[in-house]
Amino acid sequence: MDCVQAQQLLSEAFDAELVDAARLAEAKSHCAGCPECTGFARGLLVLRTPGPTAPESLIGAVVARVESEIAQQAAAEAAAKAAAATADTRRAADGAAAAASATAAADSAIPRKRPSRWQTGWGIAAAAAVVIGFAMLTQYGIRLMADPFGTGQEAARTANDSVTSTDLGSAPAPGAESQSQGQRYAEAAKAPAFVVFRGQVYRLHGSRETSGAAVASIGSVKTARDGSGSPSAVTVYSDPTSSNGLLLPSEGSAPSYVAFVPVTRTLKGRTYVLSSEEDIDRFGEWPKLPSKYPEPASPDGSPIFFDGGADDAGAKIFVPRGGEAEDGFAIAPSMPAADPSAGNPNWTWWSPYF
Amino acid sequence: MRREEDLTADIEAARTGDTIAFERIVRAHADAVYGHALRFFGEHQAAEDAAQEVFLKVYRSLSAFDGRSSFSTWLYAVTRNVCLDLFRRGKRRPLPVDPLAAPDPAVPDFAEGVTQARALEAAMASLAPEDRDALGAVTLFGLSYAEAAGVLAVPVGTVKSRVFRARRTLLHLLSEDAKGGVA
Repeated sequence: MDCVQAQQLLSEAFDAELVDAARLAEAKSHCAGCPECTGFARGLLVLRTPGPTAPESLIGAVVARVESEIAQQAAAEAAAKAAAATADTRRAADGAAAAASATAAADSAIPRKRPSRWQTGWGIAAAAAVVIGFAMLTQYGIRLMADPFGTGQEAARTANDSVTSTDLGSAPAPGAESQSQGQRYAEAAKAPAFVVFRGQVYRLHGSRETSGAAVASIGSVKTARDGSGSPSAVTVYSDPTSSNGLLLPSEGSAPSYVAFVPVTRTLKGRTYVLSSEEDIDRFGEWPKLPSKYPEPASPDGSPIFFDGGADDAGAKIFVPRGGEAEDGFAIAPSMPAADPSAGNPNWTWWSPYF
Repeated sequence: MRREEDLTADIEAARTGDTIAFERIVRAHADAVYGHALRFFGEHQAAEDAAQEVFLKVYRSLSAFDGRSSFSTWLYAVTRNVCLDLFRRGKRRPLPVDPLAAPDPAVPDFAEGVTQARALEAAMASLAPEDRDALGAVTLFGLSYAEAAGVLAVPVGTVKSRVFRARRTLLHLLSEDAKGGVA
């Protein structure tokens, strides 16, 4: 064994790497008779000198910035909620006014005798009851009356709603030419089969026949798959054929598995993954924005997000106020068919994929 | 070194906005992050700025940390990317490699350990960036060779060679310093 070989073995052993015991013994034996290698071995202890110490000011500055960011997000959420509440109040008033004018128009079309005071009083009460009745209709019903064909303004107001695939059953027929709520519903396809693993969304990729010995359990996901029952924990395994895939056991018999891959896109060559704070209970449902980001009130992302440019495929990305795209970004609903989030009726969040 | 269970608990708490838990995470790893940045940029303010950016990114990305790699491995990747990004954006310049960099024997100190630490850090400037990277991954962040190889996207054998080469270079420079001059 020469000096370089001996010193390299010592270097590896010093880092607690696994080395062949016999070879290490040979290296130590070599050192016993070699001043240079003995010096190297002692030098490893010198190199163990602690590295630079971070200044206390760094820690204080980091915590201060994080606390400031939390406060800014809370303020943005409050502003978005206030904007949503104002929009809701306006919709209710519009609906009530429309109901009142519809009642008045109907009354004026019917020839009648001049009402008595008694009849006038009951008429006013009846009109009030109609107004209250209409005002008690669902938000959705009022929206339909106020704007049955869906304008861009209406689409902006309704962008606050968190839409899931279960809402699609009550959606109106697709409306007119503009990007309306109805059009969004029409474009919103049933979601691919998604599961969420440690905050990242994976989509079904196919089946896999593999030996049980080749896979290792790495955790679990919560899903009801395509069933209607309650979601439950399902063990997930590493996919030996993929560096980032997951395997779930087939609902048939082992050793069959179904494979999932992360839903990703790239920005400036770096990979970002579709993220979800919550489990997706069953196939066909869509992920939502993290709870710290309310749904924007406008298709342009405001007031929560602003234009962050485009990803590598040209899809428009949106960045939180005060944030940077490389830390994560949002994608708007109604992405086209080629997009990884095609058909999603919700805004989605994409995080750096490590 | 904090127990892994404590770190896992702090990560979970920090995800919910617990800044006290996040501060514990920062304290436990600040030296490694700052040390890497200092060796990359060679200047304290730049290192402190970069370290702040690292921890902000860590905070914003905690939900994306899936635990498949160790936290240290993930943190090293973030640290490395932040330093490279700051350099690419033109915001900071990395420390140029100085093959003649030698520890300054004239710096007066009263503790041999402090002198040794300063000498060692000065000698780091002479290392090739890839060797310094590999050495830092292993000694500052505690990564195994395999973990470092994963982050650096090189074979494990390459990490072994770079770490070894870095140590040989450092020991050579430190021994030259002990003799009172640079060869």
